[in-house]
Amino acid sequence: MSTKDIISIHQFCSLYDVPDTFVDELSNFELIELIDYENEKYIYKHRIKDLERIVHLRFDLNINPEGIDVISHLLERINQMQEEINKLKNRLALYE
Amino acid sequence: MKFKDYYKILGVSKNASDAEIKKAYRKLARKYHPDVNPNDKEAEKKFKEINEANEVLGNPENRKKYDKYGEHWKHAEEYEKAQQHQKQYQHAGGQQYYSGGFTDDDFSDFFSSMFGGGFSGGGFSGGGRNVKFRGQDFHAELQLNLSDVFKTQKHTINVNGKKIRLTIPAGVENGQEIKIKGYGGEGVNGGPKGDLYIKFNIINDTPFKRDKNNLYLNVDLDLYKAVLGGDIMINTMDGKVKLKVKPETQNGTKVKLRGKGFPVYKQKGVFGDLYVTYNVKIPTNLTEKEKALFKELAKLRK
Repeated sequence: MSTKDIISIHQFCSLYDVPDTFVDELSNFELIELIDYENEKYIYKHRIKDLERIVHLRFDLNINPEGIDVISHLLERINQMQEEINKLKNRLALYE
Repeated sequence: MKFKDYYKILGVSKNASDAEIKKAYRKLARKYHPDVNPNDKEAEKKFKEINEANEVLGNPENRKKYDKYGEHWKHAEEYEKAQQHQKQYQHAGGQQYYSGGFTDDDFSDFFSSMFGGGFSGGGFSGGGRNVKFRGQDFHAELQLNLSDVFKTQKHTINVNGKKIRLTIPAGVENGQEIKIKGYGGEGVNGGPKGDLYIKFNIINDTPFKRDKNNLYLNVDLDLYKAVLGGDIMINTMDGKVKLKVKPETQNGTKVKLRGKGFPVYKQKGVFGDLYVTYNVKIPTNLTEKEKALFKELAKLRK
């Protein structure tokens, strides 16, 4: 693992102006995966996008971690369904 | 430029209290926030609209100004100018507020004309547009013909004034989205760049129908060739091929031409199949002689 690929929770929280405890809270709900490295907690940079979305849900829309968990599952389902719709639309073109 | 009824947008009455406005805004924001409406342009438009309404009605000064001029907002600017000269206005119109990541495009002309295009950032972060570390993702759509994506090809696209050379692998599907890592917006505070997402809209400009890697083609076959058999030439994506038609071929017979379909995405040299369906054509405008001969044939079958 290269430190280039990770960002410390402390740095993330300070950049996004959210309390450090917020990330622990998310970790308890298994909403994000934390990495222990040299006595500090990190997340992968490629997961920042997911974490950004969670920050918006938590602090813009005042949704609690349980709600974020539910929304995350539903969004995943929406993505799968959108893919399915696209496949079906392409298949439907066969009969048009 | 059209007048915007911000009260209507938030669904509140003109004498709504600040708390009612805030409540209505928060409710609508939960509904239309881009993070809970992925790939929904209509929701994104609505979200911008309610943010704009909140920016005006949620700010006492802005609300006062909006209420004062109402539908006569066009005169507001002139009036303000006159006031500015008299009062030695401290705040210039269109001052640069904390932008919350919004761009000028996020505001209507109406808003910009009345309030100068600035944004106080009193509400939300704009659903991911607020760059604090990682750069924002860009989304683009590319329209291609089906005949174009039969072969791998290079394309140059222009995203936010930047030219990007793309290699589009053969066999890309309609509606497929590819991610080009690091070609999004710049990060800040040493953050990584965002990504570029390109969605392909593929227009079928061929006589073939496509289902993933397989192609389907209807071919007219004259009655005599269907009955007696023979050779026909048909078009494939890769040029013409000769097909042997078996004697006594029935209408609707399907034949498979292995490997004459569409290339499989990112599997070099692997192709789907082409299914040809024969559509037997019955001759029309028969001559007397033809009719007589058909009658004779019919008698033989009795």
